[in-house]
Amino acid sequence: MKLIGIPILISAVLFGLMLLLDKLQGRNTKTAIHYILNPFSVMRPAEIFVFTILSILLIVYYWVILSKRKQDKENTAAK
Amino acid sequence: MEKAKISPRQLFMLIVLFELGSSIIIPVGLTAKQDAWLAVLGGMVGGLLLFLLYHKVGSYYPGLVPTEYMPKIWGPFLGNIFAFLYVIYLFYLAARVLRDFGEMLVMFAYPETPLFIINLLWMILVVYTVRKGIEALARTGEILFVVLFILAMASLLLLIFNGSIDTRNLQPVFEEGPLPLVKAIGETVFFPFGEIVFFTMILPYINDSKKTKRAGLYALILSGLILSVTMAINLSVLGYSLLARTNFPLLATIQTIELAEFLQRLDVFFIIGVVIGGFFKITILFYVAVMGTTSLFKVEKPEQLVFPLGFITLFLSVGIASSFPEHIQEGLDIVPMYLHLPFQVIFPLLLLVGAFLRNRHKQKSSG
Repeated sequence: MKLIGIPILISAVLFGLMLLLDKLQGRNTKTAIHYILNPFSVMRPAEIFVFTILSILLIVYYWVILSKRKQDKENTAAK
Repeated sequence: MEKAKISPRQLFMLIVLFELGSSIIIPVGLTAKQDAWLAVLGGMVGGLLLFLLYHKVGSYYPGLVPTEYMPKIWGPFLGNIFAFLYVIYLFYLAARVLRDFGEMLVMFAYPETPLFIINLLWMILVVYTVRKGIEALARTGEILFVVLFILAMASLLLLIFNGSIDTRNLQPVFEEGPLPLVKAIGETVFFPFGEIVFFTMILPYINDSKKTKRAGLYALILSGLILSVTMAINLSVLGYSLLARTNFPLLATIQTIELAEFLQRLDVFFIIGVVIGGFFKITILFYVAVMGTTSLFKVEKPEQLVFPLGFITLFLSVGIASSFPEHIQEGLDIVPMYLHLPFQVIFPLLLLVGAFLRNRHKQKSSG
């Protein structure tokens, strides 16, 4: 649970921090969100491809780690 | 916490590489104009005082990192909240520095390559190193420290033989009085010297804790002297007005080298320096951020979190600003006041007061 929860919590707070820093520079919330997301919206096709590969890798990574952990728990319980 | 040990000598080299990482490339203390090299020396003194402060706080809780002793000093609720904010600060700075070096490579060497891809390549290397641990990083530091030292000495000698250095560019000293110098010293205390605060996460790994303080102080002094000499050389070669308009003064300085119409275009020296410095700066920041997270949330296998957190840092580095000027402006106007000041000065001071009071109370009760 921690493996998934911690990165989500950190991403959410970091997003909040970026918003806060943008607001300190005098931007409203809508403009601040636009500024944060803008670099992703202008990605070239090759970048989107790499982005997709990375996302798939992350999902596979979690799948492998979590299934291994489940297996370990089952082995411990069987013992 | 990782079960690893590094020597005071390795700590010394890591601190020097970390301090010089980006500050040797980006001009520092320019508010003082041609006295910038003096501002760096003043900032170094401030950095030494800050290091003594961090070391004193850590000495109350030997073997513990800040995210572990914050709850002991301020209580579990407040301590854990501040420890979490500290971790967020570390991730934010790791992303900022990653963006700095990514932009630098895009601007100077790879103008057609997207920033996202450059940052991804950095991050692959950083994630791999962090998974290998602090010992591997420290050993790498020992090798690359020598490479950087040879490059620096070669560049210095070539500049002297080239005859580019004109010390008249450093005059007049205190042209506009001491105020701009004082302001510039204030800036250089936060960047780069105050960044020594991140090493509070690494100090418990030192195998000879008695030599930690000496290693840290010597490393800061050496970094300060190298930076000051670099700034003085940049000013002597380029002059203040040209230096202030250059993104990377060290590169412009190195580009002036032209010996016997044969030894020229030594930009590669700069690029090697950027890559070595950038690698250590980003890796150390990301390492302490990951270690802070895993110690705060008591994660059993820290290495399992490295990849997801690296993924977040990579995306944060791209989304942190929509353009390079915006990124730099935020770094100069907002970050020092709202992030560096609290995390480098105010919180450590409060921690020192808290640690002192708690330990005094303990001593009284045990007596």
